[in-house]
Amino acid sequence: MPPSDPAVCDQTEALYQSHHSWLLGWLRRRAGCHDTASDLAQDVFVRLLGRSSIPPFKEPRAYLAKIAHGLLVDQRRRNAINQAWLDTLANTGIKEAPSPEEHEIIIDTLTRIDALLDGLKPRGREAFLMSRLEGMSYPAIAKALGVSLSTVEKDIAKALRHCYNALML
Amino acid sequence: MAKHEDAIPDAALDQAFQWAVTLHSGTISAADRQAFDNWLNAAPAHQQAWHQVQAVEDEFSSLRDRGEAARETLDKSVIRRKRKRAGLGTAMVLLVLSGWLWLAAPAHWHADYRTGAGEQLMLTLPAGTRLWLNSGTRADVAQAGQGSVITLHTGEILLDSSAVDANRKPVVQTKYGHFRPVGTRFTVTARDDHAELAVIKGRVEAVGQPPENTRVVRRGQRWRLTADGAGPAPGIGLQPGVWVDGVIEADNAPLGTVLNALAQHRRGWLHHAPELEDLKVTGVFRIDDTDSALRALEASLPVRVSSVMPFWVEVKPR
Repeated sequence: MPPSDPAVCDQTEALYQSHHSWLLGWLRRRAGCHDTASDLAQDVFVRLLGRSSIPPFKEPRAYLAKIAHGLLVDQRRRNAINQAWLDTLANTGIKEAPSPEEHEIIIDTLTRIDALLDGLKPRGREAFLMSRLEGMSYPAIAKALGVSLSTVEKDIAKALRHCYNALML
Repeated sequence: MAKHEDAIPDAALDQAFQWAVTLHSGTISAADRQAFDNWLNAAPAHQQAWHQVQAVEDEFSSLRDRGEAARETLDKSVIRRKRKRAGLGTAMVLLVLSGWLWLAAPAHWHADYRTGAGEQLMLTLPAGTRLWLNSGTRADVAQAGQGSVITLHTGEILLDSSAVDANRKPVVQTKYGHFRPVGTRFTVTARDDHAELAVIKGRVEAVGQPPENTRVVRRGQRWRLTADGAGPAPGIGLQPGVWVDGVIEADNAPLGTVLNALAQHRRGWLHHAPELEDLKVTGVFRIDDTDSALRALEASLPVRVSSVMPFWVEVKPR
């Protein structure tokens, strides 16, 4: 993260002092867990510090709640991914289970990927994952999905652009 | 992420996408490769565009070693969210918590503790560790050096050693290995074929057999020790350790799992039809009044709860 702008630091500090405990309550009601809520509240302010500027606003709480909402959604997504990953490992045997550190990295990456793929049509998504995660060639994907090679190419191009747009947003 | 870099011409970006598609086809020729190199070196904008598109590719390529598992995980999470959106088979049940009366017992040295159906026990061990026994649990507590050794034979315990000095931390011994906390709150469940750890706070060292199978398990994770190894345990949709608050907390848990957890807290038989096993349940259930928990499930799921005779309850599809 680049060093924060001094003006951003001051603004963040002022927001922290006036609204941190309100935000904590807001998050606690939604997350239902004190530890999670305080971690997320912390993250909201860390996000602010990372910005190049903070616009002056009339409704600072609405702004903070918007960021917090995004973090909550991310966290729910992460929990769902974590659960699905553990289920998958349990089904495929536990011999090659990653270390806790690797596990965290894998879950983080899968959570980001899952968000990038949101909104993609099922066939495009499948073709893209077959290619990029499983390393299948396009002719093999075409055969597996029962579509033409040019359809696979178009689907992959569309999926790649979709993910790119999501990443750059 | 290079978000605010100078704008890259759309044409360069389009070409970068096209190359990314081509190069992953699995069927490229040396001529294709040469054409790509020529394109890449033709203009700085091409390199910039390529670099940006690779930011997407890198996310995926870091998982290539575990590609199959990664894909299965992503597919599962989609199915899960779809189900949630459709609201099918998901019940929302909320019950008011009641105060829980502890069956508290004094902490004797080297003692054998047992709880029957519907009973729980809370103990404070000499160094300050707090130990809870869930319903249907048997555990020994003994003094070893500075700390206590808790031998869990069957059932489930919750330990809170957050306030205990580092050299007086307790150890939980099971048939399949032991667990050593690092300033922590966690549960250990002992079953016939495994021992399972769920960490609520802090970290716990899980020592399996052979001891090379040692792992430090962190908050939110589950770890299972068996006779022939160790590994992450699948989540079951139940919040660990909240039975000390007198509840079972289900988050999209299979009905079978919730019923088994309830059955642990009541006498007699609680059967369910196998086709109901995976019906999803979300809610908080009181364990000191499992009858009302069953009524709540009946009210919110397509199931019928009937009592064949006292102490014999059947849950069937409606």
